[in-house]
This record gives sequence, structure tokens and C-alpha cells, in this order.
Amino acid sequence: MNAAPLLEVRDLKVSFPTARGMVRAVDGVSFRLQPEEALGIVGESGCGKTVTALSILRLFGPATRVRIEGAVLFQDRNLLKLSRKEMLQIRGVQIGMVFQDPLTALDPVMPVGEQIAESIRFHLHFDPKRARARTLELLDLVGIPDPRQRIDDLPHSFSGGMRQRLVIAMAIACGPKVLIADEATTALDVTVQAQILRLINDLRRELSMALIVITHDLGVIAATCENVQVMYAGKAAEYAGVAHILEGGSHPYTQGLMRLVPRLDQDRHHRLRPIDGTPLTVVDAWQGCRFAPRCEHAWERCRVDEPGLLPLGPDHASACWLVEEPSRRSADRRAANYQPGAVDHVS
Amino acid sequence: MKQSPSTSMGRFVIGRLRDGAVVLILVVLVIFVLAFVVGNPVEYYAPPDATQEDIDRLNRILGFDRPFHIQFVDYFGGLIQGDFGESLFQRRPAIKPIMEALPATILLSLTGIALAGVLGSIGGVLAGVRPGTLFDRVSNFISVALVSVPNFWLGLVLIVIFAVQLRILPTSGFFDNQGIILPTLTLGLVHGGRIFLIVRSVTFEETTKPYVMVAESKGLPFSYVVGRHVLRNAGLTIATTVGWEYVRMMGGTAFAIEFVFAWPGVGNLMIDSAHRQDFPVLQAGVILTGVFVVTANIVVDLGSRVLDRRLQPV
Amino acid sequence: MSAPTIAGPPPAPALAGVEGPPGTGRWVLWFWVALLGVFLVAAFTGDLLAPYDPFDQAPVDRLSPPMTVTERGLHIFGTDPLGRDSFSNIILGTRLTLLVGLLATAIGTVVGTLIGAAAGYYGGWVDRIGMRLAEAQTAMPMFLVAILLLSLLGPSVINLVVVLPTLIWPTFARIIRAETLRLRSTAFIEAAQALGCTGWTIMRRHLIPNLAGRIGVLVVVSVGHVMLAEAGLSFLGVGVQPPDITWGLLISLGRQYLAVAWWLTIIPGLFLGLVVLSINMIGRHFERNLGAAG
Repeated sequence: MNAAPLLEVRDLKVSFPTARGMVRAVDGVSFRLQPEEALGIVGESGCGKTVTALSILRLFGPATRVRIEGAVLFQDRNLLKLSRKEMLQIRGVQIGMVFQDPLTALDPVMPVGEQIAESIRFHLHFDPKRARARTLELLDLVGIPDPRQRIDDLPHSFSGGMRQRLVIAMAIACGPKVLIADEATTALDVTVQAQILRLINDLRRELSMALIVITHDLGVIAATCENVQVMYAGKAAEYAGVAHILEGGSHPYTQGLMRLVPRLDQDRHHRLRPIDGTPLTVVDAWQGCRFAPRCEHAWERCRVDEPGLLPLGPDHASACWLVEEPSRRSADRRAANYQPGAVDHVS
Repeated sequence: MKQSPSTSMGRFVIGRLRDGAVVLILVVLVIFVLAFVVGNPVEYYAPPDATQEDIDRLNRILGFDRPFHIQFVDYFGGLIQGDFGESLFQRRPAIKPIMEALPATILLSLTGIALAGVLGSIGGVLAGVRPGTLFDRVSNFISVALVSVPNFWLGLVLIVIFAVQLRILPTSGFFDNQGIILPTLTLGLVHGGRIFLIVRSVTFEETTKPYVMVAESKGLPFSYVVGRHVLRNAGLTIATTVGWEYVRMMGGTAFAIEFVFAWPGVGNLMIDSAHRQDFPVLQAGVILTGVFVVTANIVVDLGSRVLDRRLQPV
Repeated sequence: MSAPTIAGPPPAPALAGVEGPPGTGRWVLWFWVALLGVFLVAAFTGDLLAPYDPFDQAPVDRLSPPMTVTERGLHIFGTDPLGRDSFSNIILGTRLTLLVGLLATAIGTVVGTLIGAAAGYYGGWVDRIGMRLAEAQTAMPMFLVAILLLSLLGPSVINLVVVLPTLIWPTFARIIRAETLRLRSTAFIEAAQALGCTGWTIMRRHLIPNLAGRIGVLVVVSVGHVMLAEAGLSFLGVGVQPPDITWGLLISLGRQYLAVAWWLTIIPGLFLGLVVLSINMIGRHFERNLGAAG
């Protein structure tokens, strides 16, 4: 795992101007992505995960005034420093993106075949005939039935799940090395979700792509990812392998999240324990750990000093002072060291 | 029960036409009532030294002593046949001077809306895709200013600048090729301003739609996305905006401009008629313009629905 | 059931604004308000502000350009064909211009709001007739009809104030009706009905305060619209007549001297443009904020 990463985000900070001053949506996030690795970024709404994804491709529109600091390293270049023209060679070609709402992601007045062929013609310079052939291949690859009939149809004649397949086809058309899926299944029915996730997994293997899955749904993470970065209030809370995260993780926030997932092996009287308090979104100047107000283990140090991502092992880190002082873990038996399978009665 | 598009469209057209006809009848009625109540038309026909007897006799001859509804039916019947009465000023059918003035008005209004459409659409799109820039703010302000000032005043300003001070363009005149420049420019600026504001807004809104970001994520340059996606989606709205603006122009502003520039069109004729109190011509003009505007309304409305259905069969 | 529409131009979409960094908007707003305030003050205290008697003729000094100094003093905007101070006349004209504009707008607002609210609330034939009337009007070239009406009735201030509201009431009626329909189905109206309030009370106490924001913006914009219409009608000779003075009339009177004394026509129009511009800028500001909050 010491090989050079395909993509590295280093201390990314993204802020927006608002009526009350600059708001830091992302406040120092870092992670690495190896070739063909599947990384999940998980967190609640407003934690900054989508902004992180948009920052990689710098997709904020002309109307948005945004300030991005830090570095996004890809193929030995910092994407944040590239000119607009150079970014055009990255988007769609090297890094592709799938968005959340398939119903609005497609141009309603342009045939779907044309929309898929657009990037092929623009980037790979295919002539129309060759592009059309390639489009048909792609439609087949993503599982659109009857591609020849449907290639000239307008988006509205496709269901939500089909449209998301079309969006995926658009994203992988030029064979990118990285695919970012931003809440790609959130707007879909549960059964369709499973199909799309399976499609993404298959494509990843077939096209040897790395994958960044952004979601708030732990089930999606379980189905697709190898490593997971948990985000809270614009910062990384924990980074670990998916197995460890699903077992409960080390950071109190992660553990809180995992306790919310109902499990088949629990007693049916088991009550889910929500995390106290409400998530933090707007952060002005904050002192100490951001999760401290909601954390059952917090002590004075947590309220004064903000912990960075402290290593817990190879490829495992947690932004929590418990890493350095594990004895501080609250003695309450309802707290940490969650044992999968243990029955947890509410006393 | 499913209807084929053509029959429901046909019904729609008929419904609109019927509404339009109702509108016109109402307007004619209102005008007629007012003229009846307020005016004393016989006085225009009688010589100044007429006695009351003479007036009574004239009333009988001209039919002004008949009951209201009979007079109205008579008048309306005449309208349908194209008889708008006689001009008090010229002693020929009122409709004649209007027909003569019509080509001039058509010429000016079409060139005016063409200029307005070009200026407003192009400017609006350019501003809409680069919001917040200097270009956007300045052109926005200029457009608001253009729709805030009196349009006839703008025409006068242009006259002062170009005709009086610089002496390069004539103040009026029809047969002189250059005479059309200033009035067209005035119309183009005033209506172009309003078109600009709407097009800018529509274009900007379109750029905020998700599919634009998706297209950009494919590595397509923004200018390309605007050209091939945004414009196609906003194009219909832009076209209908220009259409509506033309209707609005014919509703009054074109005529004020004609007056300012002494352009021999229908508007100028009507204002002169108002001054001369030549009511038959004025009435005829208002009614005919009303017919035109109501028809144009229906055409633009219809056109936008047809195009909308063709382009966006959602 | 929705009233059939003859349809007129659709209302302009709310202007999407991407303004500068938060803060500049405020200052600009106050600038326009201040400008408008100046004119309002002039309207009320015109007699005191005017440097000279607007009717004081001095044919010797006729048609002098701006900044001329005569025996009487400095004429900022020159003099008219009879030697009267142009600036004083402009100030005098402020009062009637604003008055007619505001009054006509007020009447149109009230009429339009009442009809629209009644149409939306009661529905049925009230709705049908009201909206038919409104649409009929929108489909007509009202400016021309106004010209016709005024030449029939005779141009005067009173007739202007009667005719001008017809230009704006349909817009109010349509929007108020739409909002009323929307509000009618909300819970608090039903609650009021359950408590036994009469229709009139509901309209007065519940509907209209909620609509105030929308009405406010529309009123602001309509004032400008009406003022321009009055100026146009007066300019064309079917509006205000001497000795009453409005800016529209001043523009008309100065027109024949365009070649030799352009300031007589241009400057009153400039003022009118400034007033309407400030009104429009203020209106746009509130429209944006309304969209954000509501």
C-alpha cells in the first residue's frame, strides 16, 4: 500500500461567501485513492462530502463564488492549479462523475445517444459513425435493453433507474480512471438501488476504475467500498477499512452511526440510540473537537484542542483524543467496544 | 378518453378566437356607449350657425335620434362589412386613411422588433451566462434605465443627438432611406431593454439546472454547453418573449414613436385624428388595432404552445 | 375551475440576481430611496423650493440655455419661450406628476386587489366575470383605448385619474387571485372559516396581510408604469392641459423648440426617467428579497 496513489486530496479547504461571512464547508480534508480502489466517503447531509467531490473536478458554476485551498494531486499535477482548458482534459476523460438525481441530470430536449456521444466526439475525436457504434456498446454495457431502438429517444421516456444507467454511461464513456458517484442511488427505489450498485461494481472491475462513493447510506458503503472515510462538519472523523467501520469503528461518531443501523441479530426490543444533538454545519471559529458537544466520552481536552487524524494502525486513523488516551473511554456500559451480536438491553 | 393533438389544438384555437371576438365586441360596445353618452356627433356635421331646427333635422337625417341599440346594431353591422363611417376631416371612408398608413407602420414595427430582438436576445444570453461580471451589471443597469425612461423622450434624445447636434440623420421623413434609422433605433432600444431583462433571467435560470453541471463534468467547455444545451432549452422562451414584446409594442409604444418622428403610420394618423377630433377615424383605428393585437396575442400564444409540445413532449 | 385565458404576455420571471458580495445591495438601495425622496419633497414643497414664480414671464430672456444669468438671477435649466424659468416649472410639475401617478396607481391597486381577491375567494361567476374582464383588457391596446377615451371625455386631470387605473388593475387582479387561491386552501383559512368568520373578514384580516408583500412590489412597479403612461398621454395632447403642469406636458410644450432649445424638452424627461428608474430599482430590490424570504 505504499505505491503512489492515483488521486490524493491534501488538506482541502473549501469556503463560500455568505451574508454572515465565509463559511467553511470543508475544513482540511485529506485522503488517498489507489488505482482501482473503492473508497467511500460517508456522513450526514451538510458534512461537506458533496462539496469535496465537486472540488476535485472544480464543478462550481460561474455563478458561485468559492474559495478552494489545499491540493488535489492527480497524475503528478495539482488539479486545483490547472487552467480551465486543462481541466477539460481531466473531466470526463480521466475522472468521471455520476450525480444524484437522474431525473434532472439529462438535457430534456436532446436524444440520449447524442448526450452520451458528446464526450466521445469531443475528447476522443470519433467521427459520428464510430461514436454512434461506441454509444451502442456503452448502452449495452450499462444494461439498457434494446439499445438500437432507444438510442435516439429523449430522456423522459426512460424510468429513473434507466436514466441513472444513462448517466453512468455518460460518465464512463471515455474510460476514466476514477469514477466519483455522488449519492448515485439516493433518489432511486431500493430494488433499483441494488441493481445500480451492482452495475457500478461490475463496471469498476471491467474498466479497472477507481471508485469514490459518496453517500449517507451505510448499506451502500457495505456493498461497494474497500476503505471508508467518515466525515463530520467538514472534517474527516475516521478513516478505516470497511470491515472495521461496519463493526463499529473507533471514532465515537462512527460508533454512533453504526448503532443506528438495525441488525438482524439484535433482539427486537433493542432500541436504536440516536446521537444526541444536531449536526454542525456552519462553522465559524470553533474551539476543540467538533463532535465534542455530542460525544459521550468528551472531556476538557476535547473542548479545547482539536484533534487531527491520529493514526491507529496501517490505513486506520481517527480524529479523536481517545487514540492517545484510550482510558478516557466512558465506563458506561452502553458506550464503546460495541460487540456485534451482543444483545444490548435498555436498562 | 384520448384526443388526438390536432382536435384538442383545434378546440383550443376556436376557444381563443371566440374569447377574442367577445373581447372586441365588448370594446366596441364600450367605445360606442361612451361616444353616445359624451359626444354630440351631430355638431360636427352642422354648420356653426345652425338653428335647433336644423340640428333636429340633421339628427333625423343622420339617424342619430334613433334608440341606442338600433344605432349600435347598425354601427356594428357596418363594422363587419368594413364600413367604419366617414372621416370628419376628409370626407371619405374612415378606413381609407388607415389602410394607406398601414404599410408604414408595418415596416417600422417589424424593423423595430427585429433590432430589439437581436439586441435583447444576444445581450441577454451573454449576460445570463456570466452573472455578476461587469458586463452583466452594466448592461443590466442600462436595460432597466431604458425601460424606465419615457420611450418618446428617448426618441427625442436621439433626435437631439443625431439630428440636431451632429446633423447626420434626419428628424423625420419616410421616403428618405435614412428616416427610418432613428425611430427604429428608439424602438429597438426600448423593447430590446425589456427583452434583455427577461432573456437574461431565463438564461441564467437555465444554467443553474443540474444537467448543465453534468455536461460540464463530462469535460465539455462552458461555451459549448451554452450553445448546444442551454440555448436549445431556453430558445423557445426567448422566441416567445420577442413575440410578446411585439404585441406590446403594437399596443401603444409604436404609435407614440411614430408621432415623435412624424412617421406616416397608423399611430401618427390616430393621434392627429384625436387632435382634430375626427372620431370615426380614431375609432376605426382603435378597433382595427384591437383586432390586430387580439389576433397577435392568439398567434403568439398558439405558436408557443405548438412549439412547446413539439420540442418538449414531456 | 380555472378561468379561460385569452392570455397576454406572461409576467416577467423573478429576476435572478447574482449580486456583488453581500453588502453593496444595501447602499445602492438607499441611494435610490434618497433620490426618490428628493423628488417627493419637491412635490410637497415646490412652492418654497422654486427660485422663481413659474408664471413670471420675461420675453426678453426667452429660450435661454441652462446656467444663464439674467436680471432675475441664475436660471439653472434655462428659460422657456416666454422667458419663464424652466427649473421652477419643472419643480411645479413634480407635484402633479407624482400626484396623478400615485393616485391612479392607488385606485388601480384597490380595484384590482378587490376584484382579484373576490374572484379567488368566491370563485364561480364572480371569478369568471372578473377574469374575463381583466383578460379582455389585457388583450387590448389599452394605451390607444385610453387615447380614444380621453379625447371623447375631454382631456383633464380628473379623466386621467379615471382612465389610468384601467391600465394596471388587471395585473393586480390576476396575481391577487392566484395568491388567494393558493392561500385559500391553507389551513389557517379553514380554521378561520370554522370559527365562523365571514368572507369579508377573512379577506380583510387574513388574506390581504399575507399578500402585502406581493402587492407592495407590484404597486411600486405600477407607479412607474402609470407615470410613464400619464406622461405619454399628456405628451400626445390628450392628458393634462395647461395651466396644469406635469412633466409629460412640459416635454410636449418644449418639443417645437427642439432644434434651438433642446433642454426644455429633454430635462423634464430626464427627471421623469430618474424617478421611474429609482422606483424600478427599489422595486427590483424588494422583488429579490421577497423571492429569498418567501
